[in-house]
Amino acid sequence: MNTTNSFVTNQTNYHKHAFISGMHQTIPLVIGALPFGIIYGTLALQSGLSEWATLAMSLFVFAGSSQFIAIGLLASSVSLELIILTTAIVNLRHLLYAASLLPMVKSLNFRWRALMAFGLTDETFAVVSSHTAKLQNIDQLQSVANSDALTNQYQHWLYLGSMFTLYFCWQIATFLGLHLGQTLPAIDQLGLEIAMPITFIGLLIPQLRSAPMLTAAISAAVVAIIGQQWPHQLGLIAAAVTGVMMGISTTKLLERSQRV
Amino acid sequence: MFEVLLITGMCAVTYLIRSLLFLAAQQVRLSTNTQQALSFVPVAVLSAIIAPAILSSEQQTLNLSIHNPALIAAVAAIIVAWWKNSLLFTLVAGISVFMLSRWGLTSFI
Repeated sequence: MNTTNSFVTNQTNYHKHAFISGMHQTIPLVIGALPFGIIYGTLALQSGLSEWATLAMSLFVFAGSSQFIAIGLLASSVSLELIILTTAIVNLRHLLYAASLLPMVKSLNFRWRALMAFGLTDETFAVVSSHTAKLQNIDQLQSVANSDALTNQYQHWLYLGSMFTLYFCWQIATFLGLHLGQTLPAIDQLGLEIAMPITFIGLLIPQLRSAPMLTAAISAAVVAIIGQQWPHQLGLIAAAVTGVMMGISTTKLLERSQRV
Repeated sequence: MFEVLLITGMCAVTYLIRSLLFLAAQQVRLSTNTQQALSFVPVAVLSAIIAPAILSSEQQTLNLSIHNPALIAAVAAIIVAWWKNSLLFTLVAGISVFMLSRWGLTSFI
């Protein structure tokens, strides 16, 4: 009886540990996302969206770049169908994220997967996938501490912690933008917008441990620059696909040269 | 009414795309090749988001000069991330260098 009890408490501790760790790892990204949310709240009103609809969009759609593009299109009075279609195209990259997270969600029940899908954002994907990469590195070094192996099993809790933190802050930012937008002196001049790419650098660099990874990163960056003027984030998708293909090609080349 | 339709529609397409693979996770089988390919997605996506944000943050054109504060901040962040492997350190270094560089302190270089 005693042993089962302690097992249960241990387990809940791991849940909590993973959840809090997800929150912590998302905070740097929140610093970058907050100004965007505030600017969104401010611009939405100016583009003619009502107050409740501005909030509802953050609450129910929860997709920063589509929300921005939607209010931009609204301001130039584009039709409803076209805005929704654009949203779908802008969000296509999430298919790629979902595919890459499949091994992690496979063993979870339907409810978990349905909940996690709602919070599949750039930020949470960045946090969770780089955490997975870190665990794999530890595995390869064969110095698996028990606690680390266990966090692997509780990764969905880490995901949940990250997603809730981001969701909560996104709502606050929208609200602030709506109500203080005009009075906040040029939040876009504070330099906080740099926080997002800088945090992503912090997540990216530790993952560049092999030649194929490095090739994938560099080729993706080049294509992203070339395609940055393309509409609907298509440049980003092209860049991701190029990076993946270059990564595979480099792996195959290396394998072949080792065999010879 | 327009706004209700707008939000319902955006919510539906966003959730549909995000959930498609998650909800079908047990039906989807990925070959080893596909899994290997997908292992490059995080690195490729991160890099694809970073590059334009750093290299053309102010204008829409490529800015590779040392007068681009974002570029200097990114170099600082890369060095710190390599050296310390700490997200917080990287963020603090990157933002500080960005601020300093924006105020023109690095124009002495």
